[in-house]
Amino acid sequence: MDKSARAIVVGSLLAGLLVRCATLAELAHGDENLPTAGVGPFRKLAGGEVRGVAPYVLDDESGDFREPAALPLTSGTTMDVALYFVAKDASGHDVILRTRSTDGRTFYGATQDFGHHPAQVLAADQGWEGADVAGPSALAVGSEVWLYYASNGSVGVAKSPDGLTFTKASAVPVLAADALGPITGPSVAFLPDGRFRMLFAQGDSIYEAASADGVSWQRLDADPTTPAMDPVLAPAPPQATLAPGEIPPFDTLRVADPCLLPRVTAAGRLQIRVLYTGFTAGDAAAPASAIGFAARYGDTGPLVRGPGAVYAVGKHENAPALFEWSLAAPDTSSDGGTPLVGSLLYVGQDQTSQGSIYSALAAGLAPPTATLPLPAAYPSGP
Amino acid sequence: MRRRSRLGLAAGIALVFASARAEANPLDTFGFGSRGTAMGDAQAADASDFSANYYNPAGLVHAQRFEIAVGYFRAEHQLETNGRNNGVDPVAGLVGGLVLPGRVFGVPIAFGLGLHLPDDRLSRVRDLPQTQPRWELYDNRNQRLYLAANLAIAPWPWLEIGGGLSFMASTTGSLDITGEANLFNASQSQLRHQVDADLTAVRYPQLGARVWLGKRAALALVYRGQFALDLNLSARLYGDISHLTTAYYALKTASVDAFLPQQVVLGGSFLPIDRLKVDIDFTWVNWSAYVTPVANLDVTLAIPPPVGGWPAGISPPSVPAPAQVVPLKMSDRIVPHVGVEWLAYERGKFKGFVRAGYEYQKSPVAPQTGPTNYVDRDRHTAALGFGLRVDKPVAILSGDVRFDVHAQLSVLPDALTAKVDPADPVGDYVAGGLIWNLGATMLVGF
Repeated sequence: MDKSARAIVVGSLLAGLLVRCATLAELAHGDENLPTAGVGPFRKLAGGEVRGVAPYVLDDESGDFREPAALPLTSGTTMDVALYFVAKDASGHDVILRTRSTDGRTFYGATQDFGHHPAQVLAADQGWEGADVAGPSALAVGSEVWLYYASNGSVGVAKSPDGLTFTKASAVPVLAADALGPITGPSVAFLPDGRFRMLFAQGDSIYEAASADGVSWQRLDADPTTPAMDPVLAPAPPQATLAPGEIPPFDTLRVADPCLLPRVTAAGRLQIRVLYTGFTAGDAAAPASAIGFAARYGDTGPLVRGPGAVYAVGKHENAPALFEWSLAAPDTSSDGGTPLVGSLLYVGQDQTSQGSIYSALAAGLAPPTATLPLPAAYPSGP
Repeated sequence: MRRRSRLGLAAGIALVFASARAEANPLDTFGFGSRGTAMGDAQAADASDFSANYYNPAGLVHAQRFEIAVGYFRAEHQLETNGRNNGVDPVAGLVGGLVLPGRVFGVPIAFGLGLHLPDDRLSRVRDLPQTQPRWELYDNRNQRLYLAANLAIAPWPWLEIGGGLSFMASTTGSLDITGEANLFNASQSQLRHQVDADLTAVRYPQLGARVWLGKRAALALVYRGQFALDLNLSARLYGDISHLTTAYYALKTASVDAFLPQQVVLGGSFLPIDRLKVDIDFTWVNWSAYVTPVANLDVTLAIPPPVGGWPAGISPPSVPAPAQVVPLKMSDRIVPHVGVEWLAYERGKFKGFVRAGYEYQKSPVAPQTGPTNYVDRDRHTAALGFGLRVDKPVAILSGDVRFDVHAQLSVLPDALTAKVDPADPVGDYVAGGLIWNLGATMLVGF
């Protein structure tokens, strides 16, 4: 080969290399659809991910919205979810409302959904109930929706064919207060074998009960080797000294508001996951709180708490509810861009308006690195 | 010939000792050139073309003429956890190199250059929390440019020795933010940013020797040095917060972005029959020296409370607790490679080759049952390739032209990671997947 031919070959190669050097990189990937227990850590929803003021999804100063419970309407294969929550009615009593969203964030009757309001589905009207109902926990049972609730320190259940019109199942509570004190914040779920399981707060701890039919409940002792009825989760003992890098406990005063989330892991193990509110000793009138995660493998026994709070924003966040989704394929509808797998945490937390502080429902997202697309339109009904 | 030898020697010295900026090394994972890749990367005792710049620099001296090669490969990952693709970026780009043989005082020498130039980026740095799942050996380490410069000599006909340097770049940088942050209306914040980043050269050695046992067999020994790509970043924020108070935040982070362990390769190449070549390599990889890729953070935060205390609804952030680094335990591994090449067709100036290879790497990463999630799995890699060699295809070309293609499939069988802690935020997972690697190379000998 003569010199000119060789120069052409070598020159062409060098030119090609230079052209390649001039290209710009795309964003790096490699962290999509990562495995997760689905329970955080969560980040607050950002502006652009909700209609209105982030991270709030339901906000009404007079309603004082709190204690949400999520009910997936399609078993998490779409973003359709109903939310039951506690609000004050016009007379100042606590009632339970229902609303709905097609993207997990844009709820019927939210502040900017003018002219619409969430539907009231439950109020106190039984002899054993006080003036208020609270602590909703909704469960799809066959073709019905069962709504467990707390009232006057005990737990009742109401049933509905459509999730909107409920009939209370009995004239007596399904789980009554006892010597340990009034019961609050029941959370009911199915175990994989079809049995019912309930967690609830009593005193400063969280206890467990089991049922075959969802109506007759028996308490479970987390540690049968002791004579006392042991909780599945008690406040963390304060730690005087911390190891380097150790996170101080945030739930030394009280644990409450369990959100029960059983699942079978990839290893085929039953994992009882629980989100809860942890309160920190300090300000007696309004102790600081954060959302924690605890879990166990197996049917019974105490829960092991996670290393730190999964959602902590310093606004007295409390009463967690979780909506998990697992989309079969990328959603190409108006909600396109939603991560295939994720979870939304709903909590009650402080909102401020003209100097007054009240409770509103806020949402957090896991995985925290994900971004949600623009919110969908408001649904046509609750 | 003498003039070419001087030119090669000068170029080699210049490249080896200059502080040129370059990086490495996806070749451990995907091979270098279609011929070597198709033969299971069992090339330590066989490579004599541009690919010897990676497989064994001693082989360069066996080249018969000035050679220049260029090719392309693309490796697509389908790495999944719990049945879902994690979207690990492909590795793709040009491969190429040259071999410039000659003689000095009658002794055969050669100078070689090897290059992998990625499509998307010259280098990538990522600093992830140790709890975040990531495909440790495939996600970030292979996204870089590779450049090697080598010299080889054959003091006796039966012995070839070569060595050289490969180049990497470590990263240092700083980010300064000053100005005023408006807590009540973020869009009114006035902040100034200054970014200063630098890539500094890191070199690591590679040495090789090949011994000919007659014309039908050769043995080889190769050493590749280790390197660690440091990532040192600092950030500083200072400013006024809504005229309420001031804030000072300083962060220094130091970590290793990519670590390549030292390796020793023992290889053999045999011609049991005239038309069949069999290559076998065993690569010892010193994975136990792996440096945990977690940043050491040094954080300073000073936000004095404003006069009268913080407004309602605003609470100052606290300094995050430093992460307690959990060491990543890895074990040394011996990786077997085997490759065969069959001269399937020979007529006139044309020769056709069929190649196949296999290699197996048992995962060096310890089971991730604790809080860390460095995902990895055993890897079985099978490859197939074809080659066409044309001697003196045109009158002006006294050498040959070679076209090689390869298809390589790595199978990472699904395996379970079961967490000890029931409250682990990641939980149990099944991980595994496939990696496809397709490519072609053209080599011209002058």
